[in-house]
Amino acid sequence: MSAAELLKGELWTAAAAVRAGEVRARELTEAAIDALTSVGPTLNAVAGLDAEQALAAAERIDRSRAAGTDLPPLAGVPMAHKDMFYRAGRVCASGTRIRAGFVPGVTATALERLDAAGAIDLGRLNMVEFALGLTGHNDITGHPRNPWSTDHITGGSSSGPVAAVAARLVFAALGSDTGGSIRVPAACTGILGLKPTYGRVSRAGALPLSHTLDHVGPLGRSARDLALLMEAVAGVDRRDQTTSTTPVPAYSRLLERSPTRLRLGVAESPFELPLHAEVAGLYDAAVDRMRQAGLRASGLALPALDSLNVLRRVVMIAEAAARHEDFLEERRDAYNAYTLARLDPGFELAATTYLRAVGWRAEAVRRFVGEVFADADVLVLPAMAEPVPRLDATDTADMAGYVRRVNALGHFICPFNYLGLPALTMPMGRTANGLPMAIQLVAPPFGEARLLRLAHHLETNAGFRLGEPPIVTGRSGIG
Amino acid sequence: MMTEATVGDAPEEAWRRQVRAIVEELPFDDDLSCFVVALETLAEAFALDDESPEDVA
Repeated sequence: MSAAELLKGELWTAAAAVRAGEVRARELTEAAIDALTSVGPTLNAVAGLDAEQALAAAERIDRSRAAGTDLPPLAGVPMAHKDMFYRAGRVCASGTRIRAGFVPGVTATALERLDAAGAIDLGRLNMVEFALGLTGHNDITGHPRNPWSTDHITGGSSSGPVAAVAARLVFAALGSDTGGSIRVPAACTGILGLKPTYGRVSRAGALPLSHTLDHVGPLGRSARDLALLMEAVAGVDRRDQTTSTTPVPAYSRLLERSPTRLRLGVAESPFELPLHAEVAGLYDAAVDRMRQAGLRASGLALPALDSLNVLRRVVMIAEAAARHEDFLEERRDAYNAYTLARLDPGFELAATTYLRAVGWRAEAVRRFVGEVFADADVLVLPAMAEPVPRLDATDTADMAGYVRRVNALGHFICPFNYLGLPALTMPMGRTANGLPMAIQLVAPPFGEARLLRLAHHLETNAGFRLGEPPIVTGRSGIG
Repeated sequence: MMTEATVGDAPEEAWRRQVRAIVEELPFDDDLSCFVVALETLAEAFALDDESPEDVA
């Protein structure tokens, strides 16, 4: 199989092909560079390409293999990441004018770990300004485009990463998730996104937004790919004192364990935010397919999410406002208007309100886990209530409407940032507009292995997998 | 808990009502232990037999 054909497949297949000598890392990297430079501009996915450095790294992998050295698990696999992971000496602009020339002196722990695992870093992918926004809009860099339809949002804030991964420009990417910024865009573009447990993956060297809620996690095209990425990046890090010493499971090996004994608690309507009829139909059909695939699914009354969403928003806007206070005093005019609309309310909150919200978090997760996981091993619930909206339907000129829309997009997603629980979104089908629609799986703390093996089963036995988006099937010259 | 916000409220006023109704009614919890420790404790309580710790990466 050619490097360009491999690029359309899964990461683990490509890593195996490099290890077996069936393709050179340099060939794979060149194919990804071709894709990023030919299709990348159509999707406005790329913030900065490091072709020369990536090719040099790929050649080092090829030389190691030729010398008979054992290759690390991700050797030769081209990736690129949200433009918020620091690499010493390289610009990290984070989708904002304010950091346009910012060159960090340190490298993010997650990038260092991917380097150690042999992954090739091709560069930086566009994102919502300062990772604050769920639609993907960014007037500064331009909005990244959805590979399924360039008239529809990618979701955000990991907008460039999901566009690049869904369009098969790179195999996978790292994103961040403070209020859905991995899971919502993954849902909008038909790929998988995992927000790990709080403390599972180091945030050191990743642009902070809200330290209580920030999570780093992988975006990819299969559960096996996410498993390999988690094995590479998870684990304690002395540079991030919130990381846990809990051992990192062999996620990829655990995929092979059947999940048919798992008890799935399927959230049942009525929901606080009613589902659009099309989404409800896909959700019900998805649950039917789970049962047909041998899984034990029972109905579950979902605890109130609205109150958790308010608590999360209080924590986020307070912490984000504090973090941005100096920037706002000096360069308020440089911000996107809709970034300001979400930051400014943070200055109106009483400190006591913030402290109540952040102080309740441990009790909130104890109550939620006790209630939901007493009779279920995995919680199944919708990812979004409505089909993926059009870009022009998410008008950022209407600030109140924009904030309302963002809050609706995050309704089923954001509670798990506050609770710190692992949550994964994966495609369950497509709505009539041709855009993907996702389902969400949530586990007790440090239950990522459980989510990944269930997702793997759903992909392989229940059809929870989409084909290639039109921009890939119509791609010539690089296919 | 969100019913305190009424149809017709401006979004800002609806938000303030929600904060008053939800956050400011919470008991103040001054548990100073690390949140990650709370997660680790829950993880042990809700672990499954077939997710044994020897399967470490």
